Amino acid sequence: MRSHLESLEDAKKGHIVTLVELNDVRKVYPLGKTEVEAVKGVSFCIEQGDFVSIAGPSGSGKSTILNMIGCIDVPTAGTVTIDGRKTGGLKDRDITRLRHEVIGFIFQSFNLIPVLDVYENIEFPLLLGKQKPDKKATREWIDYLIAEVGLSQWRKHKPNELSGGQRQRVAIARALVTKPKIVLADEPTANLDSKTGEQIIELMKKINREMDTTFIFSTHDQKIVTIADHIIRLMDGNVIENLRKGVNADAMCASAQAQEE
Amino acid sequence: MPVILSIAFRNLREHRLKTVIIASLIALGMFLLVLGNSIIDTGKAGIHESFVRSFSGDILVGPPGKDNAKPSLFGGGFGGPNMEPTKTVPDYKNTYEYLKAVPGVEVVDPQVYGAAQIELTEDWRAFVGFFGVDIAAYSAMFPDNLEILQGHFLAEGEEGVMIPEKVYLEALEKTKVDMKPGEKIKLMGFGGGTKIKFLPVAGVFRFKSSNTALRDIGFMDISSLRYLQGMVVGAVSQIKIDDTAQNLMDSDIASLDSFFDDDGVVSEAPGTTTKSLSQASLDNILGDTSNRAELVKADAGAWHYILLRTKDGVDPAAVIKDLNADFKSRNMDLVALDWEGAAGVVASFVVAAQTFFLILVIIISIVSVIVIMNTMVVSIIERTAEIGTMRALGANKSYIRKIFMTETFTLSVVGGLIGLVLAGILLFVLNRTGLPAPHSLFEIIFGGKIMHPVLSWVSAAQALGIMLLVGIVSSLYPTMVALRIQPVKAMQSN
Repeated sequence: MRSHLESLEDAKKGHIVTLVELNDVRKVYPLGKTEVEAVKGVSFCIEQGDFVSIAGPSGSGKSTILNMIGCIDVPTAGTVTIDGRKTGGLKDRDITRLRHEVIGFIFQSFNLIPVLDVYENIEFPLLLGKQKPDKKATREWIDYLIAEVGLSQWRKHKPNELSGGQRQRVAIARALVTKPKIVLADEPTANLDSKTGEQIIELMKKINREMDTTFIFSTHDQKIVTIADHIIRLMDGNVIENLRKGVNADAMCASAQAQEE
Repeated sequence: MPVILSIAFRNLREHRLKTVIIASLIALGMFLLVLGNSIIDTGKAGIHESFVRSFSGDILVGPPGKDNAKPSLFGGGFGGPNMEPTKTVPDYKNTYEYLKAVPGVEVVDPQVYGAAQIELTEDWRAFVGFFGVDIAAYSAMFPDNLEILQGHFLAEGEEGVMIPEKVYLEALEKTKVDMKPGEKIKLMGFGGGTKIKFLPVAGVFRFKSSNTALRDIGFMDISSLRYLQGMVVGAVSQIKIDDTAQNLMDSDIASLDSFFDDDGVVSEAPGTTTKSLSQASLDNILGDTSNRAELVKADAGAWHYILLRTKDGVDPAAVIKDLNADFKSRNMDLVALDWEGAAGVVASFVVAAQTFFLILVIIISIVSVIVIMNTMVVSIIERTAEIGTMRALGANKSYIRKIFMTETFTLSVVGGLIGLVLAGILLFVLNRTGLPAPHSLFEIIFGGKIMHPVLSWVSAAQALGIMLLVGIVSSLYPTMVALRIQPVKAMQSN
């Protein structure tokens, strides 16, 4: 597993680093006595620093794919590789650590811890790590994130004292606090009005540019989809379009293509 | 404050209803446990005190009964006719001397217990238990346990009964017969066949200890009690019969007839001397009770058990242990018991109360566990998204477990302390006002009509332990449910 700084260095040097690779991934859910195939042999790659939109209508498999990339669900068949590690067969402890170190989450319903205030919610993932974080550095970093998401005046407020947009900003700061390589956002604008939704996506894009953090978000909102520089469209569990920076990106990863070239 | 504590405490505050339900249950359990245990412990201490000081001494030594039944102060039965003959101390004289010489033993007091029926009128009869005692030894063992209401306590060698106040008053009320000192009353014993004896009342008394269980027990001179119990009386057992007399007793009726015929030993002119009968000579013959006094002495023969009082600072339990080991090694048919064993049925009332209370505690604990478990499961279901989010953000299972364990531990301690404080306050009030026994059965458990319960700190610590255990046990399943929540639930919480 490469560090975020090493990946950044590679990116600066113009190297393309593949962070996510799905290879012929299938996911079957039991539904009563029958089975539902939510994802039907999907393959694609996501590169370092991409701003990725996984688009498609309800039931197309967006959330299932996002869950598998986020290591909170495992494929029935095929492989999911995150930052060079195949997630299948990892023990619960290892996969928890992988999530903690590599991935940040932004949820549709914000999912802030109700009893913690803004600062504490953002700090929370740092406290789950094995190493005790440096207090001063942590405070400065969290304050920076709070300022970045525009919530400096709200740092001592509880989630129920904030608007939907403010809560999602807290969630974005929380997702970034561990400096993850990937931030996953499952329909982050679904519970927001269109104006606030656009602001949130703009904020994510800004952070993506400034920090070179890879953002992968699912949405069915066409307006938001167009902001992404890598769009993966799904329909009935299949990829129907995979456009990276306006170019068709097939199953072979860009990094592999670059190497071949 | 570590974030786990912070989350746990704030969640308890946030989910107030759940917190109040669980803490109240634990507080109620703690309250009942501490209150019940303190009452039982106070009762037991009262019974212990009254028994050791008034009835049993520190140790009872006696022969085991049928099927190795433990000897008791009340022989094979209590409060009714003792139909099963109680075994007597074997080789009494040597046993008595042996016990007197045991290091740490201060007083040795042999006793007999038996029930007899007092019959005052054709319609009124009462079974009364009697202690037959060696007056000197009994007075040394229990110098200040009786309150003589009428008459006097039996003197050494005096024939008579001491009537307990309760029996005296009942008889007076029902029959108008006043069993005042000097009155002769009819007593019937049933040991080895029905026996009747008329005995004078020496006095009416009550035990200074208010133990209700022993309000029916009186005293009888040892010789009369042995007679009524069909026990081998010392006077008979000590008669030495030579071969001639034995042959005579064994001879048949015909030979006995021939013994008294004209040719027999009785001559027509027996060599008798005539003496004038005077009051002085009659007193000389009939008033001399020295033989009888000799026969009822402690070493005369049959005693049911021997009570021992240990010296100050000597642990009776250690003496009992040594005695039993010694009895075994010497092959003596004796066992030594503490006051609880000696109290027999009376102590078993306390044991029964404790058992009943234990069952109550188990029921309360099970109900509490179920209610707490359900409440927590509901709470966990409500917090599925929160738990899933924590897992998704990188919290491992042990982190989630710690949060729930902290919550449960906090609830148990807080609830437990609330219950303890409430029980302490109530016990303080009851100690001041006194707790009247609601029923005569409770009087035995209470050790009297009114109890002044004191908080038992040992019980309080035990109760707190039980409540913590209840809290932990009831959180096991909910925690398991919480640990099963997968991070994907965070995504599905829309």
